[in-house]
Amino acid sequence: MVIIRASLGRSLFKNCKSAVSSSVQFRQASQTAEQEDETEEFRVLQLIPKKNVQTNRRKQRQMPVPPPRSEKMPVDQHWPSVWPGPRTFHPASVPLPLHQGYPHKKNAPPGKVGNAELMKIPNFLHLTPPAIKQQCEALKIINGVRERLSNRTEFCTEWPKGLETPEQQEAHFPIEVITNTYCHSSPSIRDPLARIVTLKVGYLFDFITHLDIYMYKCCCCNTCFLLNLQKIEPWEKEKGLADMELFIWEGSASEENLGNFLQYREKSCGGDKAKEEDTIKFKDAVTSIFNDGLYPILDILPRNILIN
Amino acid sequence: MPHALESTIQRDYTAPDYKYVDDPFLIPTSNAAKRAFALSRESGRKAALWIRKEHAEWFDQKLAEPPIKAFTARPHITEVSEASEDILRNLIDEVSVTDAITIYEILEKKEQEISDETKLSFLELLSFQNCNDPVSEDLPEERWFRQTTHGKQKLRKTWKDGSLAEKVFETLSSGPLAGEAHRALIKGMARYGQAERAHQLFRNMTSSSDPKMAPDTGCYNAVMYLTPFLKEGYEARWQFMESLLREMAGRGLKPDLGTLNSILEVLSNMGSYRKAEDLAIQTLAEFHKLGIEPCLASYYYILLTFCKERGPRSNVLVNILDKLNCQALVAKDPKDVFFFVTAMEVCRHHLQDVDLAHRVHDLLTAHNNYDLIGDSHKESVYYRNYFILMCAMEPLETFMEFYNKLVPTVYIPEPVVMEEILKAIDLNGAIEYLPQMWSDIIIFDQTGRENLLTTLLDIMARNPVAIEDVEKNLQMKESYLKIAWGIWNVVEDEEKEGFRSRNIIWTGSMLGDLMTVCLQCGEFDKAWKVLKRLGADEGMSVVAEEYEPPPLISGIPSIKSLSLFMDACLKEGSVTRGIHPSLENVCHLVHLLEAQRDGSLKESGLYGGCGKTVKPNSAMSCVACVRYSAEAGFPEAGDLAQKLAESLSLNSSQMSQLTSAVGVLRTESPSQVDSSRIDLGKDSKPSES
Repeated sequence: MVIIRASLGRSLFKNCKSAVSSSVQFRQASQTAEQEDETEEFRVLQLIPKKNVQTNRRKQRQMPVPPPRSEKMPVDQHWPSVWPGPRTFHPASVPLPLHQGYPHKKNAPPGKVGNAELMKIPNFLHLTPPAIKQQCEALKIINGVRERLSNRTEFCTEWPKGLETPEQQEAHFPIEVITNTYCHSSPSIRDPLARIVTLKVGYLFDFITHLDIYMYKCCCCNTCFLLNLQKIEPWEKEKGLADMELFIWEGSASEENLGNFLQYREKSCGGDKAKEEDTIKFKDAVTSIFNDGLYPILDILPRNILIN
Repeated sequence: MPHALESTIQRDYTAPDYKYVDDPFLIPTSNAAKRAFALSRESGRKAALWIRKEHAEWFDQKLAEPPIKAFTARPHITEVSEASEDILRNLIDEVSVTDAITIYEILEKKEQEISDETKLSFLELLSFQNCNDPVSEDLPEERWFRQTTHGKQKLRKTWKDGSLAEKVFETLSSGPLAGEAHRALIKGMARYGQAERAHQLFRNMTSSSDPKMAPDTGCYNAVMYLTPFLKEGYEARWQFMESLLREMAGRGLKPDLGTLNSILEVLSNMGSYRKAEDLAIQTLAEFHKLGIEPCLASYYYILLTFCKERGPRSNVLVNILDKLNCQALVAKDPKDVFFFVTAMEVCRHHLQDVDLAHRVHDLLTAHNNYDLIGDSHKESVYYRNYFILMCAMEPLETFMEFYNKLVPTVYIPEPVVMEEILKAIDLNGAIEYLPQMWSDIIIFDQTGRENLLTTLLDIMARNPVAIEDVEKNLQMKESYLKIAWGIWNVVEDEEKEGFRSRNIIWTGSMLGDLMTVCLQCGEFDKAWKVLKRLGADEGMSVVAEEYEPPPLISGIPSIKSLSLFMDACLKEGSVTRGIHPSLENVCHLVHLLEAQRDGSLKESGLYGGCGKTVKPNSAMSCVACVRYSAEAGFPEAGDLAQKLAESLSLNSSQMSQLTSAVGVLRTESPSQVDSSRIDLGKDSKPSES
């Protein structure tokens, strides 16, 4: 093994070192007792090799980072252009000194840079009052010109006359069809909830009972309603008295009872035949009790009809 | 609805382009970075496309409902793929040229029949693309950064002779679709510069009596476009075009916008033909009668024709802008994108009219017209011309408004433009903009430009800070110092750490200016460092180990910087005890200056050392160099020597040497050894050297 003195020149030493490096370790193992560490360049045997210290790479050039653009924003800039839509909070774009979070040890609440609290919550920077005002103005405009005279706009028409109150609306448009459409940020345009259509025919009876008919699997097509309504399933014929949703006078026990009563009265008491209109009133009253509830009937009930 | 809300927002000029990530660390601030970031982002897209192409078998899930064609992997077309006419037709529709060629060859090999219509559309595809695949529309950044040279690019012949297009043509030329085939091939050849054969085919068509072999307007346009190749001499070219136009009229073919553009293009290439301008006007008038309005490409050719470099001044651009009047422009011809660049160039070079340039810019930014700027090269040339024009013509405040708005998000000025801006700042004495300019130079990565650094130092040296407000004065001086020392660090660090050599070498004037700035801002130590760097003081007795002499400086600083230094030095010296070591080096430097002026630098073999441990009794060498400088005839050396003698005490031999060098020195006899007394002789008279 050749040991080269430092005085001869470092580079020379290094060259030789690399040349004999492979043999050094082995020889060192056998000759450790005899060899002395003559200079610190002598490598020490490492039975458990230590992790290499990272060699000094050529320093990467540090590109200068400009300051965040919130510094450069003019005070009178058009803010809705900077933040046009809902966006996660971004400190470099917001020229406000915001703080949010728990203040530790008499510090101020943490600043806006890297603040998870500010980023988690929804912000409404896109809906500042000037932005809302501008958008409303835009929606009212038709072809760039605001039509003041007719008050007609591109997106909204005037509310129709004769439909101001809810009663008028109900009177003219009793049927309400409710459909839902869904928009997702996904590859599919389908959503199973979109297939549910609700048909509301409201307020035929009093406000306590109103009728809802649900049609499932209708695929947003109104003609399906009618077809389904017209279709009569075979099991519908098995409908019995207990399945009835409404009380129907014709063919009910009440009608039978009335008929028996009137016959009895004719035969036994010799009373005059019951008038048609009274029968109809009775029918209406009984139907009303069963379908509407007890209380309204008290108003229309004539005094001289017995309730069965 | 979306357009209504969209109309409420305008462009945000502080934000980077949408394709970059909006974060201070990730916004590109130099032209190279912009290009690198955008293209690297696109390379990711390319990698994804490649993976999908290579491993199409893994992309079989149908995620989208209803299915999206662009997301499904297309089958890899190889020589053993299934081939049919339908597949070929689909590929033609998708403009995948190489795949279509493969399929066609498979079908040929199998000797399968392909219908004439399919063959015709295949021929049209090949002619239009010259049997190359176009750059995919999925790769917008590649299209944006394609380095197409601007302007008058001579059409070169790039048509592939004997390619598949011609073979397909052969098979069709005898059939019923021969006429269509001829037309397709002629137009294709014209597009790629194969003038001879196109003309030959054209003559075949015109000479044939078959009515189906009649050329259409497109063919005539193509051949007119090739006129420069076919005819020499401007007169001959115009005759040829006129004959073609008459033929068209004879056949009852209606000219269209393409005809107009072909004519104007040929006219614009007629360099010194005097009739070209008149013919252009006549053409426009005739086409106007026909109801064909010129498009941006036509205006581009008009500008080329009228606004020649060495021609008379023409205000045709004003007329064009009046006609266009900020309307929404639509692309009608591939050369439309040349209009705006050319217009701005005309404004700058030909007309030197800033208001017109503003009008051009208004037209560009109106509606969606910005799409017609072309590609990145054209955009940068456009803004370069705009900025230099504004810099020269507008007052500096107005210019800086534009600057702050457009830089760095829309445009990053090239070093040429930065130089112009610095010159304008110098002219106006508006030193308050210098710190911003320096920071911009850093972030644009232009610190490697020697001319910028030289200019900046020069401006600072000649415009010392003199603001009335004391605080602002101090602030400005600090900024000056930051700039100057920043430049020092840039150059020195490079030499030390050997970054990719940018070849910035100090010159004497640069260092002189740097020293001046340091002195004006009161930083004596920094100035001393600069002087050491400049000067070579000789005769170091002790040379430390591992001493590497700094490289020589070419050129010399101005005497003004030196005398400034001398003054500051003496002031320093008067505060501290004894001779400041730097004094000696001043003398050495004076000596060095002499040597340089004599050209005897190399012989004298001066290498600088740092004057850390200068011994006080080297006053001898002081005197020696003053003697030298006097011999060489450096006039100011005398004054320096005078000052030296007046302010410092020198022993008698030194005094005598000094005197013999410079002549008579009128001073009081200084005291001998008392070096602590430094006295500016009150009765001293200026020396006669």
